[in-house]
Amino acid sequence: MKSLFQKSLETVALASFIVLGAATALAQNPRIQTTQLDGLTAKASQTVDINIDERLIELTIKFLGNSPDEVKVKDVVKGLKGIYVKSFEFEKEGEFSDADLESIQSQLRNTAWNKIVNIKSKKDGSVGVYLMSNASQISGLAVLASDAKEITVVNIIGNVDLEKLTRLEGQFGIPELGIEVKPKRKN
Amino acid sequence: MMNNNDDYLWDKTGEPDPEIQELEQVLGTLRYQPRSLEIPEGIAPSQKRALLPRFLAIAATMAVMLLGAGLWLSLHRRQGNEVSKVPNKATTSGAEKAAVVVPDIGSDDSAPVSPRIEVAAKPNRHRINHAAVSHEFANNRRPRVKTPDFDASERNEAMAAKEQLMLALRVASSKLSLAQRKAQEINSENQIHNQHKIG
Repeated sequence: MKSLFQKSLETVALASFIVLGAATALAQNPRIQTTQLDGLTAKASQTVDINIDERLIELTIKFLGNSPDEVKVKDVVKGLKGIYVKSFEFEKEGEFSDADLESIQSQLRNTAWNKIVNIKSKKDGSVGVYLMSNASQISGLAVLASDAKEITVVNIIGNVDLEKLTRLEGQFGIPELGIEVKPKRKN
Repeated sequence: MMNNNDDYLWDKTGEPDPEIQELEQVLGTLRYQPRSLEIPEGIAPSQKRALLPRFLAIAATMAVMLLGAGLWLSLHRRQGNEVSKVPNKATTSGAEKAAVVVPDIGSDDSAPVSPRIEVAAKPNRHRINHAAVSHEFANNRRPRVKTPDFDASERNEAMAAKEQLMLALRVASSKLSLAQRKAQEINSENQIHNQHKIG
């Protein structure tokens, strides 16, 4: 009887350990689920849906040449394990709901994610930049940007160099966005 | 002549007709006479000339066969060496396995994958023209691409992946820049606001 109790206790402990381990692993997973946004494709006037896994990144690296621009790109993507982008642009305002945004934000509220930038504006929309770190290394990046007519989720898995990635704008055929600079408010 | 000599004319059974006999003699010289073919001396091929190409053909065939055998042997040896280099136990992490399963770029395996980008003209907004950028990459970058040891399907996949990658990097860098600019804007606004307060 005692041995039966002991065995069941061991089994429960093992199961708890496995569940806890799985939960921790899930919590530490830098991959953001964005499939819940797929319904917006029908409403969007412009959709970008990019899923590049490690194998494709490695294949592309082999395919990139040795020109200075391509070397910069190689430098940024080297060692990354995945790049996932989902972006929807709409003709009209109000085509996506707060629930759509919340489905992403709820994942980013996980303690493994650190919010490094979060700018909210009723006029200009909001931008949030989140990082997941593992010891001294970045293991994931998430950017959630939205305004009245757009929602964009960028999710990069691996040790990404933010500075290099930001500096890519305007290079290698990557045009400067020319993002509208709002006139400063008069105080 | 036509009545009595008709049989002679047709089957030589009737009374012989001298005119017909004369004609027979005249035309008989032109009758077909079988004889063996006589090739003129100058045209006839000599035995020595005929032998040379035959030997050459045999030698060439043997050389090709030897070359083929040599190639096959060397290839076989190389494959054997490569197999012997493979470790007994392959180790792959779970992440790598997942990475192999993940790709969901398009659904048709036979066609080269390409990013799903739906574009609509929006001239009034300062947005990214995805199609133009993609087109730019297609025009400007493809000829400069070096293709080391890629077969056609891999090259197509790599080209599609490259375009996707560039688009993804562009979106990512633009959004990060946007965040950076907005943060800087807020900082400068706060500084101006504080200066006014102090003043």
